Amino acid sequence: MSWHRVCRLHELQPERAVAALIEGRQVALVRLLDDRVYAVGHHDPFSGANVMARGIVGSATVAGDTVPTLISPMYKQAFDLTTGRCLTQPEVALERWDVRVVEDWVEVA
Amino acid sequence: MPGGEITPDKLIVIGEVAKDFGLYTKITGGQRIDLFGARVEQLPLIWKRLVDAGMESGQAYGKSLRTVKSCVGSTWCRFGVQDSVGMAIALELRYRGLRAPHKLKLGVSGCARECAEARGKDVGVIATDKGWNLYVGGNGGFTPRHAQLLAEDLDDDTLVQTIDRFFMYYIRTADRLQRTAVWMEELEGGLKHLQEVLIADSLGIGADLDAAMARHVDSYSDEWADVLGDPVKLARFSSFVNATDYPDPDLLYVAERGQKRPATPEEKQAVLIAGPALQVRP
Repeated sequence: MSWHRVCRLHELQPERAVAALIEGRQVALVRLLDDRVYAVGHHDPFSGANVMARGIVGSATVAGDTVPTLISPMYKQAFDLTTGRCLTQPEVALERWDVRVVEDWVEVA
Repeated sequence: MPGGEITPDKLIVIGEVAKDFGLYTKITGGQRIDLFGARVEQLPLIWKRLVDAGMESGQAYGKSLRTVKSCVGSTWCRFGVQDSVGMAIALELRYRGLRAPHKLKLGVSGCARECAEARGKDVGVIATDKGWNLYVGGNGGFTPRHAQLLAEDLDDDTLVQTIDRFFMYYIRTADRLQRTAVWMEELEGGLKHLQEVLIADSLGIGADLDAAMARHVDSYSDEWADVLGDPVKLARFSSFVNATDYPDPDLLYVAERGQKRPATPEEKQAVLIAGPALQVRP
């Protein structure tokens, strides 16, 4: 998949997620306080609803490292934004996309 | 809809909004009206119509004041001894938007027959021929509990002041997600301690609690109306950041008893395979 321009970085609020549509796929984009941006699936595998971008952004300690997380607003499972993996049920994962920021443009592939 | 009271004109606006946006409509257990099935990008349009008609979208969610349930009271009932609707509306307007460790529910009954089921609420107010009896610490849920009598035959002002102090003391000392009943159970001295602190002011914090509630009342604003006037907040109510008017195509509803409801996973699958053999609604 090639790089897709989605939106401007300044349109994203830190510590919040927004939903984006990329080639018909629903993606949750998360901007952190340090301007890192992650993209994971907007579809919550536990509830079956497209709601991950309305979730809560947080962090958790995984194997000694602090990782950013996105928590489902439905049943509150936390997902590691760097891998998409659910912290409590590692066999369940969100899709994950690569993200880069080019001159204030957020691009997803 | 404070106290569950609504004018016919407002009821018509709610009905028109529900029809125009195709919303599933139900009367709630808290004397309000549920409108379900709106998409995120429709919410500001719906709020605007309700706000323009003099209503609020509601404080029905969040760890904060939910509903103040009331019976019709002395105004319309031969048994009523106080105006329970008037008091319920005053209490709801006072405490709406109040953030707390857990949800807060109130009830006001116009006589001891207790039609508002006030003793099943965090704060229950029951009319007497001399004033109001105040009960605290009730709830439904997993472990139903009746509220306990905190004070008897209070006048309006003393009632409100005692509830102010009860809420503020709870908000300041309870654990996160701890409801009033459990908080009271774990409070050393229990009900008697509460009576000493809230009524006799044994800790000397009464004025402080009163001032904290006054600040809440003075600073309240309708958060849904605020969103309509704030472009940054408003931007969050779009379906997709790069396709703001394109609705989520995965939402699918079927008809049931003359309204729509979300399709089950099996129904969604059937529509995908066989096409819309079910009656599918927009």
